[in-house]
Amino acid sequence: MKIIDAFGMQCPKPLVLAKKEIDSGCRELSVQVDNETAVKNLSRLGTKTGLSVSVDAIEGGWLVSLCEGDGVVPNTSVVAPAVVAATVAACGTGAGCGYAVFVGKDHVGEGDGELGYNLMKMALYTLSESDDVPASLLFMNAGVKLVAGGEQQVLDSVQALAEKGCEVLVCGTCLDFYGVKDQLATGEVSNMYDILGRMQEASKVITL
Amino acid sequence: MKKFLIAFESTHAAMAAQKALSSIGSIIIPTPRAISAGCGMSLCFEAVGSHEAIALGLSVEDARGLATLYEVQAGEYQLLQKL
Repeated sequence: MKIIDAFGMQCPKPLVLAKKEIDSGCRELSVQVDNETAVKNLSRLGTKTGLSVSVDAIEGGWLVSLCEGDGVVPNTSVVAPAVVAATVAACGTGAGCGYAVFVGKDHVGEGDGELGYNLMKMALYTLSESDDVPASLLFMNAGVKLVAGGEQQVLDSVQALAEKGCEVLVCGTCLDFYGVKDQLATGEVSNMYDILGRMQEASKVITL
Repeated sequence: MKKFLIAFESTHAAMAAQKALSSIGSIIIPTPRAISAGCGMSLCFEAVGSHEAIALGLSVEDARGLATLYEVQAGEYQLLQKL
C-alpha cells in the first residue's frame, strides 16, 4: 500500500499527489494530512474515483485511506466517530479548495483583439511564474484554441502550471466545435460536469 | 545562452516587435516590477552574449527610440542600452 506523507502541505497539494497516484493505477493508498480541508477533499476524491474512504486520527493530524471494497484498509484501525463528525462539520463550512482560473476566450477583457490576446499570454505566463498555483485551469469556448493549435509561449506556461500541480481541463465540446481536437497539446479533454465541478469545489474562481 | 529583456515604452511597438522577433523564440511578458519605466510589456529572449543581444535589439525597427535593453542575471536587470 502506498503511503503519502502530506504533513505541512496546504490544499490542493495533498489532493494533487493522491490524484496522481490514482491516475497512474494505484487503488490502495493512505495520505497523512494535518488539515481538515485536505481530509474533506481527499474523501471527495475517493468517492469520485469509486474508492472507499476511511479516516483515522493520528498524531498531528489524520490518515485518509482510500481503497477498493468495503473501506477497511488493511493494517489501519477503524474510523473514530469523533473524527468523522469533525470532518463532516468541516465540509459544511464551504471554504472550498484552492482557486480555479476560467479561460472562456482567447483574450483578456474586451476591446482590441490583438492587445487582449497578448494580455492573455502575459497573464498565463505570470500565473506560471507565481508560487500560488491555481488548483485548476479551465478552458472553454475560444479559450481552447490557446492549448490546441496555440502558440508555444502559451503551451509552455500551461505546461509549467500542470507540472506545479495545477489540473488543466479543456472542454471537449469546444475542441470539437473549432475542429482542433487533434491539436490539443496540453491538458485533459473534459466536459461541462467536471469543469463546473472544479468551479464549485474552488474557494474562488478567477475569470480571465 | 544568456537571457535578455526589452522593456517597451509603447504597447504598439511591443506587439509589432514581438512579431519581428517571433522566429528567435521571444516571449511577451509583463515588465518586471523592478523596471518601473515603460508601458508594461516586455519581450524576453535568449542570445549568446550582450553584443548579439544589442545587435538584435537594434535590428528591430519598431523598438527604435521606444525601448530599453536589459540583461537578466539571477533575477536582476542590468541596463545595457536604449534602443
